[in-house]
Amino acid sequence: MDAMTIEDLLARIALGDRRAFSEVYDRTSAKLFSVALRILSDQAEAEDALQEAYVKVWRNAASFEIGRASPMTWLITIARNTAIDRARKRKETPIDATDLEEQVDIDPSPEDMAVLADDHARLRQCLDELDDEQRAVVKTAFFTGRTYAEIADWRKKPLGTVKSWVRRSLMKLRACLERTSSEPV
Amino acid sequence: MSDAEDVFDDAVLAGEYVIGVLDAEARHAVGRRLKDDAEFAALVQFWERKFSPLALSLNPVAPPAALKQRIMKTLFAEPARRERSFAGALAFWRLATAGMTALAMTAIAALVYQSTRPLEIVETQLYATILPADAEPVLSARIDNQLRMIEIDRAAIELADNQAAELWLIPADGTPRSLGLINSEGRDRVGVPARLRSLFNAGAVLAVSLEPLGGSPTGAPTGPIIGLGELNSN
Repeated sequence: MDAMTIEDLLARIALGDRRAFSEVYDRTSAKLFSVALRILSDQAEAEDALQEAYVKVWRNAASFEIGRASPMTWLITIARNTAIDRARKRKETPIDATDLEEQVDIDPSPEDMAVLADDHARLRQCLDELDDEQRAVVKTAFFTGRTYAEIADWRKKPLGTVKSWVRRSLMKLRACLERTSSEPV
Repeated sequence: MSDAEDVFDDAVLAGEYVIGVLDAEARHAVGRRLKDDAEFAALVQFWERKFSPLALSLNPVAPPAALKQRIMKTLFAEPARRERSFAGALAFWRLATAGMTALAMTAIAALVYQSTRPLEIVETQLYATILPADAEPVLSARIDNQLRMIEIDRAAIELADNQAAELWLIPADGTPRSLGLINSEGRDRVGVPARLRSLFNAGAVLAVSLEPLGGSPTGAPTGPIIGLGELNSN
């Protein structure tokens, strides 16, 4: 199984291969757990979210379309959506100051990251084109999955101002990402 | 406040959804829209693809070992669901036939053959055949241009005494629609209900499953899928 890519393994999972599922879990759960933990800021809730996410992976592997998306993007999206949906169901909580620190992985595992390394470089380059404050808000929003209202509260800015920042940032990012992207959108 | 009320396009809304700033209500509305607005879904996928490297840049945090056991127990203690094998067979078929070279096709043919045999589907004038090496089709079919009738030229399906063969159309949405029971040997004709005609697009798949006598009791395939073939109008 060593040579199998995550993509191969997802195809095996779609066929009901439990060993393939176990291997995908071993190879990706630490990444997905860090994502859920950042969004939920609570160990037990993040564990529940991770469980829910991998149950979805098992059940929906057949819907992963080979060649349409990177398998890591697919997995990350499931984990993020699961965690964010859970966060929306509970009471709003203040953003922890540690959420602001960038916890960048300096040694990403090469096999899964290689494909995304170029994309990451591009995204960083485009984020760098934003103002410092706007970049901080967009990144914190993404890492923590917080609502506009929570971010406004954290930044002590009017809701409308924060919305405007994020929306303008998204427009700039999109223009930049399309400009620097080699693939069609 | 006024500058926050500027008109922003769907690409921005999709971005808001992906980075996760929408409140529960707005998020829910976007989630509903995603289901039947392919153009909008593509915008969401754009952001998911662009932002996912940022999520991967986080330091990994290993979850407790007990969590994996809990997940495995949750998943595999439950009774196997019949639909799974069907979805799995379909996904594997798509994997097996997507942009595949002849060499790779031969390599995976044995795997496909274990659970499913191919259908051979021929449309009048234009046709496509999906046929891994060494595998004999469970049936060959032609469909007329008006999509009124499926002519089965030759079926070769092994049935037990208490089994029937049911033909299914699986359109792009992935939900199988029954086309009715078919003869297991020789020739047959299957009328296509008018309401299903619009679903016969390129990429749609015909499948044969083994069902109890009288056909699937649930309206979805309940038995093993023994053959799958992709429709291709070229």
